[in-house]
Amino acid sequence: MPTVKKLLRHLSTWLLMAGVAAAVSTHGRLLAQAPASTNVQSPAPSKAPVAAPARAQTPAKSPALTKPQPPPAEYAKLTTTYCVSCHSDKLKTAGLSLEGLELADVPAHAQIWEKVARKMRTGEMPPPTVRLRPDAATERGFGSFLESSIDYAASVQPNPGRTPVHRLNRAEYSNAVRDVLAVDVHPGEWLPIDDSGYGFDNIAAVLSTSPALLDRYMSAAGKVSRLAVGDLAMKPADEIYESKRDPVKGSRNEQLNDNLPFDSRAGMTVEHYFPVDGEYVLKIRFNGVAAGTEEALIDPYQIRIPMKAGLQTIGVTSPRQNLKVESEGPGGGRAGGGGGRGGAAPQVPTPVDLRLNGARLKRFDVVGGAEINRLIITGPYNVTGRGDTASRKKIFICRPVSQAQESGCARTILTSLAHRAFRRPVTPADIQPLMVFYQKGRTPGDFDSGIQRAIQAMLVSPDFLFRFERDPAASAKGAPAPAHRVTDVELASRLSFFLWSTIPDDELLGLAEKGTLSDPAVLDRQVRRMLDDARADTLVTNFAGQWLNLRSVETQKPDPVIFPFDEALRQAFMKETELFVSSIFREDRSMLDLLSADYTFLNERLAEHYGIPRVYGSQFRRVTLTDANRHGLLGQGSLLTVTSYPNRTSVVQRGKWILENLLGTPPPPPPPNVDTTLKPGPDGKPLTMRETMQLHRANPVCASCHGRMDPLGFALENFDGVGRWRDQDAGVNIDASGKLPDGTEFQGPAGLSNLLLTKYRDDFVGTATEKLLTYALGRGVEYYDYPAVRAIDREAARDHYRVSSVILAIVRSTPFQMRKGSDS
Amino acid sequence: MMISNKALPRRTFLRGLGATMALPFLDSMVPASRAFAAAKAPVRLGYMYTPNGIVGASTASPRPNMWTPKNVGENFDFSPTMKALEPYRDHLNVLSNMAQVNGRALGDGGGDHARATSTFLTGVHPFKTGGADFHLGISADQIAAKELGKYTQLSSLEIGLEAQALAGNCDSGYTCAYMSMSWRGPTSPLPPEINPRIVFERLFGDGDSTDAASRMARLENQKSVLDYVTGSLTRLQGSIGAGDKRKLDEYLEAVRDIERRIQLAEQQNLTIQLPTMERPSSIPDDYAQYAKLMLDMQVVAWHRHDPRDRIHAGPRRQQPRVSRDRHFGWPSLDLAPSGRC
Repeated sequence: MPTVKKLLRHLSTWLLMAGVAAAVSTHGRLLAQAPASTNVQSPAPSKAPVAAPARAQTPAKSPALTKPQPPPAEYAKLTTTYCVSCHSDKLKTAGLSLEGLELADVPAHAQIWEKVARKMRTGEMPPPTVRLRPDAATERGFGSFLESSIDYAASVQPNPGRTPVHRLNRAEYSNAVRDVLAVDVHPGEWLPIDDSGYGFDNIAAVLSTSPALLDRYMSAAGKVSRLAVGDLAMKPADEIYESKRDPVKGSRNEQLNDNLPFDSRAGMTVEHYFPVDGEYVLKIRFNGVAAGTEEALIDPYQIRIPMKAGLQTIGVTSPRQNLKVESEGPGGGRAGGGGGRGGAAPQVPTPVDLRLNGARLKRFDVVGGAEINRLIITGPYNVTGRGDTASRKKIFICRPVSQAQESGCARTILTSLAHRAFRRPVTPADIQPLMVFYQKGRTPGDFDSGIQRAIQAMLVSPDFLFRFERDPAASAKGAPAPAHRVTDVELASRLSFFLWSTIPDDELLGLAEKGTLSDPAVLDRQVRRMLDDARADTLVTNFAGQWLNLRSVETQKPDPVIFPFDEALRQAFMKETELFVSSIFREDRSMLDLLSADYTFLNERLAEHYGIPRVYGSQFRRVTLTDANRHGLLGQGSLLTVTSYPNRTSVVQRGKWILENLLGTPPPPPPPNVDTTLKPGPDGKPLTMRETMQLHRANPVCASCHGRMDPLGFALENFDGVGRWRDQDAGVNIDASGKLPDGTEFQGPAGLSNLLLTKYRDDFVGTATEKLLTYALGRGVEYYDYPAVRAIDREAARDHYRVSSVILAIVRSTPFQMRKGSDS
Repeated sequence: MMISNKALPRRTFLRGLGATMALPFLDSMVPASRAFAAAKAPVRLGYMYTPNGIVGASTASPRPNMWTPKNVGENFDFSPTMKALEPYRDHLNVLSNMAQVNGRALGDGGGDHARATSTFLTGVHPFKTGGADFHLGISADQIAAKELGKYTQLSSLEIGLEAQALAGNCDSGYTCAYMSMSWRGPTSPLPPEINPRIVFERLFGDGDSTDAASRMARLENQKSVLDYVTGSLTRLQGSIGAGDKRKLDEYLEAVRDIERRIQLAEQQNLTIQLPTMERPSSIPDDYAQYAKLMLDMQVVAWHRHDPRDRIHAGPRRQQPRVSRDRHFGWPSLDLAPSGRC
């Protein structure tokens, strides 16, 4: 029995930690107190084996669970013995009181019991320093008992939650416009940046509408509708494309991208949408040509050519200089070049090619530096016609041959477009107002301009910009509306926005309107089809890019004096991770491969950086990694740079990234007024990172959070601030060992990955599932979703957590297929 | 009719700003129903900025009084650089000794250029950072815009002559966000628009010119689209839950806001003649032409009674471009050369 003194001392420590713990998220899961044991969540003995999935009538229900037995007597006193000393009504540690909470009706207090089960499972509670605690088996059993009680109640009376009316975000807007009108100009980029919530920019409650946004929607609708239909009255305008220049180094002596010939060097490519058939002027401006000089006014490097309307790729590049090894500034070197203009040294002109869709339009001989500054496209001049673009083909599914036919044909066209844009069957009430706009545009113009006006209005309609899910007809007055299945048509939108970030295609919408989409076999086939489709790349760019916080690579600025960083390396980092994550999704690998895969994608620049020999050329190709330390995401430059400062690594940032994104247990922010500057050594000697961080370990207030963050970061210390391997830091060999508060030890990046894949495998998978579910639902995951999350993880586990099995399990889950009734 | 008849008492306005100096009689103080009938021209507010100092601004300069007039009082002598403004002597004041203390280093080390730009209208010492945690304060033009913008189509317009990034390091550890002069709040910089075509579009929409017929047609167009949107929203309100209704109400609010501005614009169209101007196609190559074009658009915008509040920023790089003419004479006022401080 602890003495009073000891108790008081413990109490004061706990109160201190509680103050910090109060800020810790309810999803805390790290620090399993049990030694590294087998990692499968031990199912409660009373649970029946999981039945075959998906019955035809009620596919949304989870497989049958048997009613749990009444709690064994030992559990009844569990909380009173071990928990209530802190979590009482009087003390309310961390705002929680378990006093008087009976086990007779666990689901009635599901929110509290879920928290308890989670904290117990990870060993966070009782706190590791407490001696009076239940044994491991009892703890596990109690957790399982709580979870299975809640799971059973959820299967009988599900709470699927409710996502509010969901506005399309920028990416979805661009894609929807592309798929309705076949115009791919990314109009979403003209809109203000969306707010994010829970780490994603597609959260319904956070996406709001402001007058500024509506203003932009209206002007975007005008621009897009004119591009899609073609506007004969369009006046010439300039479009300026600046080349991405590396401020530190010049461009590399290699092909820039696949749109340029293999033997070219550097330059730039743009995809430009030419609005109508006509003449356009393409001008190239080079660095070193000052505005206001004679050269700028003449603009010698330009051509005026007739172009067809539509999306074309314009490239500007030079032939490669094979004798030069690597990057150097451009210019000079062509044997036999004539003398240049004036000056003491003869200027040798550099050839620069202007290309259209790969074919050369014109070659210029550029004197005095051929570093491209910008490309300017002006036009249209002498408009000859609206063009024969993909969008016109898609829109004009009929052509009136006479005046009498026009109205009927317009109705046909607008019905087809509205059907696709509104993602549901359309009624005369939808089409009638659009016909009014058609007339408004027809009268002063022609048939096409009428259609253009109607499209302009349609693109601002709330039916296009929002995703609506309707409540079923009101039940008995006063009774709360029940949870209900969403309709097939609504399900089609949920699917397409989840997997493709766009509107459903004709096949998906067709099945939904026939009412067959919810059939489990059909649904299964559709999900697999969608995952195979190219549009599923949005899962990589939108979901994984935000989940793993990789979009920040774009703006990182490592110090070029300390690190050998340049734009080519930045682009390579981004490409590597994109290709890597894409391979996991496309090849339907296990989610665990994100950490354990023994391959990656490299080009010469990146391979040099990592110290991997015999990789040549600027193309990316799959390379097997022999060094286990480089396996998976934790060995990739993108992640390692994003979690570093411009001039050094950051153990804390790396630890935090892992806790937040892989383990779902983000640490709270530091207390206010904490001095976070690093102090140098006592006699000015540079310290290793471990020595510098030693205050985190010495001070118990710091250690309560840093104890779980820093060890993870230390294991990655062999990777410097831009991901290069190093053996020494401040002249001393790096000690890449880590030790967690519960005693778990690991060594180096390989050891860390291994730890995450074994002891914390369930946490990793659970976090990935929750993130995917958040992204899929457009709302944060709440306590009433945990039964669904557990069911998804169980289902995915049977298939080794393959990506497709996780996604299918999400699609079959209660929150995805159902919706809570309205509160009023 | 959304315009209220309440005139803004002068004292209220002063109290709101916490200012104690006398303010010019602002149009918002005239009851709305009389405002449009008033023959008196409304007062405009604009800020123009050229960075990095001007040669001859102080007596320590190697060319003293190139810029700062030698003497004070009503009949001061215009300095050589300011000579072009002499015909307007009766309409202007030159004020000196208004150095901004918060623009000094105050222990933060290098970064004068970023500090100068960011403190010009905010008076707040910027928090030195190169990252996304920048922190400043609301700028004077936005304080005015919040109040005056209620009565105009555009509350404020920020234009400039040099592109500005919102991220990245722009001056010795200060993020590029600090190169904005206009701040809606401590963490909301408003970067300037440098493309004259886009400025034109903001003022006049998709129209190709500023003539009255074209403007009216455009407003008609917008109104009919908004009517359609309102109709759709009304139909939808019937079949969704209460929580969802709130989201749609937000959209409806946005619609009403724009309708109100259209109403204002239509009424102003009846009374105002705008100088005719074609939509510019892009940024002119000649710098002097470019500056003149942007200034012309300011004038046209002010003709339209809005926005009252405008910011025009000159070049902001460390070495701004100066138009050189063949004689290498003294450039005109708006292209005053920079001196290194």
